[in-house]
Amino acid sequence: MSIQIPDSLLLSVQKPARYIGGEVNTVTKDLKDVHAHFCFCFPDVYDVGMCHLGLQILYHGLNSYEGVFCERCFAPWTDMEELMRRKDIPLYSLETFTPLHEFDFVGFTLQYEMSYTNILNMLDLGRIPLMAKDRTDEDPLVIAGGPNAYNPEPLADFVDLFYMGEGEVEYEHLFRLYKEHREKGGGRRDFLKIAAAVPGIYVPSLYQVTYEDHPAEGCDHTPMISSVTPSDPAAPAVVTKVLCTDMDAIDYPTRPIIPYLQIVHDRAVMEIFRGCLRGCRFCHAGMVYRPVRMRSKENVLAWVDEVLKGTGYDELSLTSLSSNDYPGLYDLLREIHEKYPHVNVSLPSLRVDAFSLELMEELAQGKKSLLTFAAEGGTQRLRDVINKGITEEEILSGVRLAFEGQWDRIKLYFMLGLPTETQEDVQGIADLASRIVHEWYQVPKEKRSRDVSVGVSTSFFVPKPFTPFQWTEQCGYEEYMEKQHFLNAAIRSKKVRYSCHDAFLSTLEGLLARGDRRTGALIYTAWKKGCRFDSWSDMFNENAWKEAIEETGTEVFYYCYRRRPADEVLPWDHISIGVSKAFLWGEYQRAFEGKVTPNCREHCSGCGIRRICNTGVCTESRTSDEREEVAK
Amino acid sequence: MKKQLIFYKGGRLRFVGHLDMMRTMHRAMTRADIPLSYSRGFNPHPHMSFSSPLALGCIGEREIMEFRLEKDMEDSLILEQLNAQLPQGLYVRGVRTLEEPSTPIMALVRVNEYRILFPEDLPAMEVFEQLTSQPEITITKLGKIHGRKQQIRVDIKPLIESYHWENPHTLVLLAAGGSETNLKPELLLEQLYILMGCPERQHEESISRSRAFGRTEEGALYDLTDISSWECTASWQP
Ligand code: SF4
Repeated sequence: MSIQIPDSLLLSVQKPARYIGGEVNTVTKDLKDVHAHFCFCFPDVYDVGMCHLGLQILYHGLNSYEGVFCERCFAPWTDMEELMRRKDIPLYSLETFTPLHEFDFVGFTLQYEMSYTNILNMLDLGRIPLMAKDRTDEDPLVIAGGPNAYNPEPLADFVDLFYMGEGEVEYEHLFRLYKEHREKGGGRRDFLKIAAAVPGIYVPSLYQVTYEDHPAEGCDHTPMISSVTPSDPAAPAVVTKVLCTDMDAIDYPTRPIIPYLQIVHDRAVMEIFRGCLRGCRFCHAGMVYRPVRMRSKENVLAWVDEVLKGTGYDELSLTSLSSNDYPGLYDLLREIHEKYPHVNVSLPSLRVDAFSLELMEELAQGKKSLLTFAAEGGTQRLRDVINKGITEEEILSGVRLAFEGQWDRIKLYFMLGLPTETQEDVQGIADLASRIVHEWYQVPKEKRSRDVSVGVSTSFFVPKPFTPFQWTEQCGYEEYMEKQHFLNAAIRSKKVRYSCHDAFLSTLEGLLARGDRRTGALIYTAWKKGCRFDSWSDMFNENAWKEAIEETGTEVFYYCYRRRPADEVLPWDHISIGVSKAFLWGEYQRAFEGKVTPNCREHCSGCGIRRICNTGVCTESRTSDEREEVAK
Repeated sequence: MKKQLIFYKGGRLRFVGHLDMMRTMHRAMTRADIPLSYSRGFNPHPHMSFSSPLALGCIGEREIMEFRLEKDMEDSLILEQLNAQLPQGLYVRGVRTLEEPSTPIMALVRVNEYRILFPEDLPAMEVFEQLTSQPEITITKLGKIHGRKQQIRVDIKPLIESYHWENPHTLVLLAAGGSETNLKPELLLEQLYILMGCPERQHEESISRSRAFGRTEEGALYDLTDISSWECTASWQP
């Protein structure tokens, strides 16, 4: 049943266009032909959620299946929430204004830890019991996916099933089983068992977690996990992610929904490949999206045509985790530019060299864009530890060329608190920034821009599951702040601007990222205390979180500051991203030895992903020896 | 080549602000393969202009847009192709080609006509008469004096051109509009609701901007949005 939202209510909130739906390229279906009614929920405000490519992919993908109808829902901003609660209006979908609790499936995407309280809030506003165990056959099945689903445990209390991997692969199968099950009149408990057998599906209620009988070393009262085992024969011991093996065989949403509202990134988006071959040891995305799989240039060009025609956008972003690793990138860009001279093309993280500078200027139609460098570590030693393959000489020669070409804005990104980091490494950040300013002074006055601004931005390193640093300890709050102050004082040049993050937020992010089933109570308590939109600095309520930590007896040391032993059962050990734990451990060891690991294209390091998917870069990267071996 | 277009803005598009609506229109035109002409320079903008912004929630019965084309396109094709691309809530009623040089229509607008429908339980008519019989209707708003932002007091009564009641709940208001002086009806209604003693109920009425008028040298009003004599119009009714 669709609900009515009074005009007067929409007129009393900021940006009412967040709540009206009906954008160009949205889909509606007749509910009587629908056997799986799905609501894609993005646990953040509309303007943020609509920038997300995964939403468009899943939305159009699911709606292409017969009998499946996917709608959208976003977290209402606090002004809207207040009115909805006051007027007793349930959270509803944007296509048909159906309250969340009337759907068959309510699916959340987990993009960042600090959106978890919004999930609880949306369930509550949508009148769905928060706890999975309290739901009945009348309630929707709550499903969650996205990169953070690989450590599902902190949300295990609230989510019925998790989807591990890429949405294109198993949803149709899942919905078919759902239809058959419903036709037979089956209930939710039985369906969950059926779903547990689908590749990539994890049903937390079918697993049992046991704990040691003594606190972990150095901890007050928190014991380590001793085992996670299926409590039902239907559930596999390990759930392995599912992924697309041929990127050219899957569809692309060439008619994405076009928001009315100006959103954060208002442009057409073309995904050129998935995965990253660099293997940075801190990077979650770099591991969980393995292996690198390209979309062919022919397909990309054809899809770009369709996307631009289907939307009328005059800005296009080619996305991937590292643009330069796309073979034939420059040819592709030139071809797009020749065909669409009016369209402004942007790429994330383009390596800066003579060629790319010329190209960037052309693509941005003469504008000198901001040049960014993700150096992450301040010294070569530290960059070797984290396997970040960028050298100081590369950065300096890049900026030299840029300054000669009158570029005047440079931004450098670093992380503070990386494993093995010393004061010298932090000092290295300041030194690198002043060397860059020095480069600018070296360029003759008549050639360089009138002024220069070098931005240094630091975030705090947060260890993430499924990375080589998943065992490492996170810096304490004091230590984080010390490093930040030290760096702030070490930056002397007036041309360098320093911006940084909040350290407590990073602690919390780390806690939720490596949390386990016991962390659910913390999220619940924080939400009860009014926490939501925690990733918005003006909304983040530090005190409420601290109280929640206190009240739930959550031991921050256990989750954040402790170095895990090799044989510890990690909360996510029963999930597999395809990359083996042995490989991650090896990388962890190499980090401390300061040994770099070549990227997938130079040399395959045997990360284990081939056991589930021998495709993409894994087949192109075989050394001749290996190829011979395979041939034999 | 310059074109003029009269369109309807209603439905859920009422909640889409002016800038967002302009962008929506621009993209629809691109999708409709209308060869818009762009300004030169680093940040090329399409040559498009619109009626004064409509407040959120208002229906625009006959909004005006003008734009330039790089090469000609038949009016009927523009009408057909653009309507096929516009989202529900936007609809082109008529298109015509302008003789050049032409005065931009936005510079001709002097008065806007609004139809305002009040909830039936409110004594809107009675209280409105009371309001307009005052010698002045003063409001305070944020404005600039000598470049500094501050609260200023303005008498909006002279901005009411005329009005009549279609029935006790439907006001037809002609208010100054255009680039020189412009009365936003919400400002007047705010005073009305205060006087009725229920300021919290503002927005329960429904407002539509129905026509725009120019003024002849003799002072007579003439309808700028009358498309009855245009060759290329759509038969659609909202
Ligand atoms: S199997 Fe080899 S080439 Fe493939 S992702 Fe792993 S390391 Fe890279």
